[in-house]
Amino acid sequence: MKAEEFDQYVRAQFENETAAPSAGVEDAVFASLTAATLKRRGIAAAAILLVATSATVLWLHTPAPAPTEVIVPVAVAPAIPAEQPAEAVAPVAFTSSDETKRTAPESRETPAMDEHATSAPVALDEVASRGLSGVELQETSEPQLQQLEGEKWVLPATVEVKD
Amino acid sequence: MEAADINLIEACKRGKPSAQREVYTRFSPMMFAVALRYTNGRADAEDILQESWIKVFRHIKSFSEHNSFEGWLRRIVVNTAITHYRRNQKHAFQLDVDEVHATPADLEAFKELDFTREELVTAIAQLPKGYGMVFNMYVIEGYKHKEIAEQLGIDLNTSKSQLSRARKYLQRILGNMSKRAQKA
Repeated sequence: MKAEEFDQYVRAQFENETAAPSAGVEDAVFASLTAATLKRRGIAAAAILLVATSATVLWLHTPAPAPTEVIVPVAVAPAIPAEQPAEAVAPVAFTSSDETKRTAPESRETPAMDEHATSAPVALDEVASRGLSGVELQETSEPQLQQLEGEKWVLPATVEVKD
Repeated sequence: MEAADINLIEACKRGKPSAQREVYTRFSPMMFAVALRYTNGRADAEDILQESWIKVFRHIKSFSEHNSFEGWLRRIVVNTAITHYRRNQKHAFQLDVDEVHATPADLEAFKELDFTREELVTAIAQLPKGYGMVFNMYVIEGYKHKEIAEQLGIDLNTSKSQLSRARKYLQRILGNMSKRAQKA
């Protein structure tokens, strides 16, 4: 008998082969499947619990976010009062003799200027009478400070009253 | 594949226990018969069957209805049996089998008698382990030598020579069986 014939004979004998396993195998298979399913579900539940716990802990330990800045236009009163219009300020009249007594501005930030102001007072009328070379005075109809009643100056001034 | 079978497999894919039971009942006898050919006893065959069914239900979603379900199950059993064989191979005592030649008398006896499936199973079970694996895979399952070599981790020529020796060995066993039968 040739090898091929022998193979065919054997193969034919094993067509539709069956053999009954013991009942214990079925129980073992399905018990194993149930255990695997429970294990899978347990792992899934544990994972969900872990994620939920982590999220809660994270949420509890995270500082509250800074409130969103809302810019509301607020009318702020100027710290320095606006310069009052000239009409509201009472004009102070003083003469040139008073001017000589007047010292330098109160600011002490520029000592050089202060020094100059106190050490070399210049008479205003003399200064006023000086001509500026190369500068032409514009002729206007409005009265100029220098032109007000001869030697009178009108300057806006604030008066501080000290105790 | 019939519509009822497709529905049954779909139910198994959804993990329906009653469908799993039904599939098990229908296909277990076939799978167990395959497992028996690759082992020396029922206990080992039942281990292979159990392991195979767990694989089946775990991977059933990958099964396509365009293929043969029975063929897919059979392949799982064979692969599981091969895994068992390779796992136990490290610890098993390897018989150094000499070249076996079936005598003309053996072959003559083989010609005259018809053997039942049980007798063939008994004879195949007596083959040395490696021979039995190659014989089962090539002759009964229809694997090619290249596949057998890959699956068992052996050389292609080793697969061929083991098959040749397995045939002769089996013929000799069957010849002896028929002689005993005649005497009885």
